[in-house]
Amino acid sequence: MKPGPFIHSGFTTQRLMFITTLAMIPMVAASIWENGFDAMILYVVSILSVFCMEFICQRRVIFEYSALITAVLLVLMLPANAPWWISVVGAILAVGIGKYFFGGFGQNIFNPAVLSRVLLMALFPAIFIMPEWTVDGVSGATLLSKEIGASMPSLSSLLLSSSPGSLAQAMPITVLLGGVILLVYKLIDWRVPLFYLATISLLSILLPGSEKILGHVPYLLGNPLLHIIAGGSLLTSFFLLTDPVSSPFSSNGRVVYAIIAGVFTMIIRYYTPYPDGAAFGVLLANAMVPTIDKYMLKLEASVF
Amino acid sequence: MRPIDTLFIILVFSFYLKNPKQKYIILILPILAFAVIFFNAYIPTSIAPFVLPIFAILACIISLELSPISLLLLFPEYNNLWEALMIPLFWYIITRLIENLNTRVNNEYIPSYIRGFPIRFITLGILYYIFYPLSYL
Repeated sequence: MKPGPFIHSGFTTQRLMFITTLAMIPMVAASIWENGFDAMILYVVSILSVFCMEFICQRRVIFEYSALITAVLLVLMLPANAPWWISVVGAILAVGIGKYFFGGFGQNIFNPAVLSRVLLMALFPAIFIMPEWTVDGVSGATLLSKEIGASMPSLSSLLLSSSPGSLAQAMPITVLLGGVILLVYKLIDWRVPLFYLATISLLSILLPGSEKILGHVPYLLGNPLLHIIAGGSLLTSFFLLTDPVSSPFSSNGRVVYAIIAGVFTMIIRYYTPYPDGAAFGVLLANAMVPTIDKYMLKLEASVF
Repeated sequence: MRPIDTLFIILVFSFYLKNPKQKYIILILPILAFAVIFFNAYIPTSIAPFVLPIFAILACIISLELSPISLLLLFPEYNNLWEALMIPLFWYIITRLIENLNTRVNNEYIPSYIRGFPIRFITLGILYYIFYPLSYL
């Protein structure tokens, strides 16, 4: 953050949230197109549950885009075949623990939707596991899964067609489109997606693979495009890491923040049985925000 | 008990180590553990892996300042030097993280019924899940 004076950009929080909601429409439409009625049920239940939880926590009827965004992001991170009630539990965890336990809107340390996703995976691992696979850890159905052993898909099929995994992976190009909308309106700092995706790309080339990867899916190694497009990298870079509440104040701090998330994501992808470390990367980076702010603001003050 | 579990147990007890008036709480744990051992015959799993961490927790009473480190050094299940070095390092990182998170977890907007120890405990629980995948390394 630079010293004042500051000029108001004209964006109110509500307007910012409204445009973010619009940017998510292509992803939502693609996921419903690919997965049909089941996906729609998940969205409806999640939105209703989140607003019910907001009502319970705030004891008044409100309509906030932030609640809508949380509800939609939560569903975008769920597997397409998830039962409807997982949205209800997810909403309770996201709004109850992720948001109101930490003081409500604007005070949360962790991104509520991501926190909810990680807690759901810990509570109901079976929902995030494909039963026909041999699973030796908490897993999820993505192209990055170590148990699939499938062949490397083509770039066009990766971007345009549905890949196994969460609803956001129904058509990854729509995530990219949403991200471009956010960048064009300058609602997110371009440094965060750039440095997050660059870290993932670089580490996918540099890191030596574990035996687990080499033995099952060797195409995961040295394949930056796969790591960017498959899994939750795109959604994370544009929509999850850029949450203004849970990211650092300073521009340089955001660079460090994105790199930390990228490193953690790749360590989990390469060396643990978890298929995708993006959600864990986001939460770790969120937890490090006060530390990053503390040191980066000190550093910037001493330099400038 | 795995190193990561022990690490987070240490961190929970570290909350109390900072306030010497509350150190008597640490005394309760060995008594509880002793009670569990006493009833060992009625439970199917062995309680043996818990014995050394209990000694380690007892070490907290001797040295309050260095207690988390001494706990880690007493931990018996290290298989190699890498593991023995990584766990204290994680302890250090998470302790610093928690210190820096303190201003956020002590703010006035947090509901009064969870302010203080409960919200710190919840935050630590979340950190446990974040770091859990690293136990596979």
